[in-house]
Amino acid sequence: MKKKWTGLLAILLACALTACGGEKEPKPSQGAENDPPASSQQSEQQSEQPSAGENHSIIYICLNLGDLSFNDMGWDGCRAAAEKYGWTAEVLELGKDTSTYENAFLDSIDSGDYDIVVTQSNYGLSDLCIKYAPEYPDISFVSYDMSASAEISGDNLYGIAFKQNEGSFLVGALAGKLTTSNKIGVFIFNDVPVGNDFLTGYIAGVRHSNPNAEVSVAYGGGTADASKLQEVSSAMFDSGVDVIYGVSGSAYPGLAREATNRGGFDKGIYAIGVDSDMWTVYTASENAGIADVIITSMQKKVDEAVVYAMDQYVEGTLPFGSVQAYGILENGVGMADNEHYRSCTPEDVLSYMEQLQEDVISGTVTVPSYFDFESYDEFAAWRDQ
Amino acid sequence: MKETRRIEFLFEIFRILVALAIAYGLTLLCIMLISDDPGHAVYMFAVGPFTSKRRLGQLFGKFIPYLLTGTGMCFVYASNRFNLIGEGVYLMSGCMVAFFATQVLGTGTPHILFILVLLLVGALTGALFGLIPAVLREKMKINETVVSIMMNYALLYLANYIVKTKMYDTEITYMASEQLPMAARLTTLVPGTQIHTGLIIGILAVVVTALIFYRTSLGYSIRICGSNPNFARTAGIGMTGSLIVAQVLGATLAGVGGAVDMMGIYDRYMWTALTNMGFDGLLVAVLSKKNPVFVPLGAFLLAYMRTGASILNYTTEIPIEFVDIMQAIIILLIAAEHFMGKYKEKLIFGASREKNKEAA
Repeated sequence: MKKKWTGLLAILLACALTACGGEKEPKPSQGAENDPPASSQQSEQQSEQPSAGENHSIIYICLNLGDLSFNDMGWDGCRAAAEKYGWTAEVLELGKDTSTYENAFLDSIDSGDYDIVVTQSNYGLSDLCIKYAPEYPDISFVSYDMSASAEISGDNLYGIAFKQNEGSFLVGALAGKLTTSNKIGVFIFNDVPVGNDFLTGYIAGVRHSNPNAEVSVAYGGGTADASKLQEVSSAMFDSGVDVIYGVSGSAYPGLAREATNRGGFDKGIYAIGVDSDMWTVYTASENAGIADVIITSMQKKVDEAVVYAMDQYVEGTLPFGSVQAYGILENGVGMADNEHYRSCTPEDVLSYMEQLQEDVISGTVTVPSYFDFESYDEFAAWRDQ
Repeated sequence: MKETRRIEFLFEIFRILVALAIAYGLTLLCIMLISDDPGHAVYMFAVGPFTSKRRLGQLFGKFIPYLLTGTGMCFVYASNRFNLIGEGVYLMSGCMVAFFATQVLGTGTPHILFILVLLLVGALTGALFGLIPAVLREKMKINETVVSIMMNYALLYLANYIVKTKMYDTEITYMASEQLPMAARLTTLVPGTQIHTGLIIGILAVVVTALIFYRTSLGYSIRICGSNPNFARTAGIGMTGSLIVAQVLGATLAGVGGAVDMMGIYDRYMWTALTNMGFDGLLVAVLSKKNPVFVPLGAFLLAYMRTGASILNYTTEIPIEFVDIMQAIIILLIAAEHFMGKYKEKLIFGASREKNKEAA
């Protein structure tokens, strides 16, 4: 018994010593609050000597990196832009505690190290941009995934909206053409407005190309969980569904695996990817074995949109004070047109899809949006009809 | 007996200090191992919350709701019930406040009246939902921990449903309510910080709770029912009533906490996951040894740690996940009540044996 306590005491002392040593040490960085983050934050790219007026630094503010889609693609876009123009880009992950977002946001822009702020709109981040843009006239704010109907002003705030309904409309129409059982499935990561905008386009697409088909809808709880999506897919396939659109980048392997287990294209089973061109991404990764069931993907090109915005910024043509909607025409969303899709899709469906895409771009076919519905109940009635 | 109590008191202080020292030691050790610039990281973690006005304000932004949930959980903890409903009602009350602020009350309502009505809404929400696990426990002997944890999720999804169907803002892409009108926001006491008038409400709650605890028969019966149910029963104290009241009062204060937090620092209701503020309230109660007088201390300590961790996250390259782990280490060690328990028993045993020897 005694020995045990001696041991503990020793650990304790060691800890206490390190604690004391640690707290006294950091004298050099005393003035930390004014100048620190640059040295210690994830600096992806160190540019050469700053040349006046030309050198910019981006701070990318998001919730959590590592989802392989939405959060990561924004960061990819920032890094790509920084690389292209020789700027620096840093990332700030806010984490889960919503009460700290405002302080973290302000703290990082107050550091004076950044002159471009790129954020998502999630969890009030777009509100923060709208609220603080007037107070920081020297900093440019870009917030992506805003609602196209949002009204913003000011000459240093720019919003990017994605017409995920348009891209989803195309893959929905494709699903309507591919199905043989007239039963089609879709999984939405969470019952939130953006998720429902995906869903609205998809259902409209199915109804457009195949009025006889039924769409079964499943929602996730918001957290990435491949095994849950696999279970949902399994239940859907059991009920006779043969095409599933999985709107959840991080849970997607669950769907691809289940579809592969069930025989894939040979058995008439198809999966549709989301956000990135998933067949291409998966083929080049450890998921290559389950890539071939992905007939195509609805791409939400967050990274390209961010780079495009930065291009406009450099040219001085970025229309600050407005939200721009990036649809198929603007190359913000679209259906992945890869060799796999080309070789595995019947000729008549390919030409049908090409025609449909042109019709959507030209406006001959209008795609409904979730944001057009007056209320959730109205949307739910339309969805379930 | 007196000797035992003295040892227990001194030991308690010693235990918390040792736990804190180990927790901080481990944390700092971890920082040094994974950080490229450990000096800066340690500085940010330990001193960060005091390095600017805004950061101190952020600390207070956490401190204020902790005062309320902490005192609330003192009621629950003192009655020896492990009722975690505070978590669910915190969120639900924030939701109801947002609902009343955006959908029911007109913007023409005077500021003071607006705030008072919303506080009442928060308190009633807390009391109403707090009643369920309390009554089930005291009347039907259904385990309050299970009921309250299950109810927390029910309340979370109920709140999500209310947001989605009744007050969702169509101008934004994520699920949140419309913006709260300015009349529904608590006044900021120190400009540029999150120190708002909720501080006064929080201090008031601490004072009132302390008075109830130590100056009323209700407080006395709650404490007796919690610490020695057999004695309470023998003495003829109405246990069922006292225990239900204790748990409902606890939930009510947690509800006020949710309301104050919502009106104090948020622009809109956007909690789509449990906030952890209710659980943290229990931690505050544990830290302050279920004594409301010490709640400000416990609340400050926890707010300081949470804020330090948050600042560590946004000023250094240490990933957010690691910051969460470190907080867990600290809290685990402080909350471990029987940590070094054997040692305590040994001390008390030794003291009484010596006394017996003297007596003999």
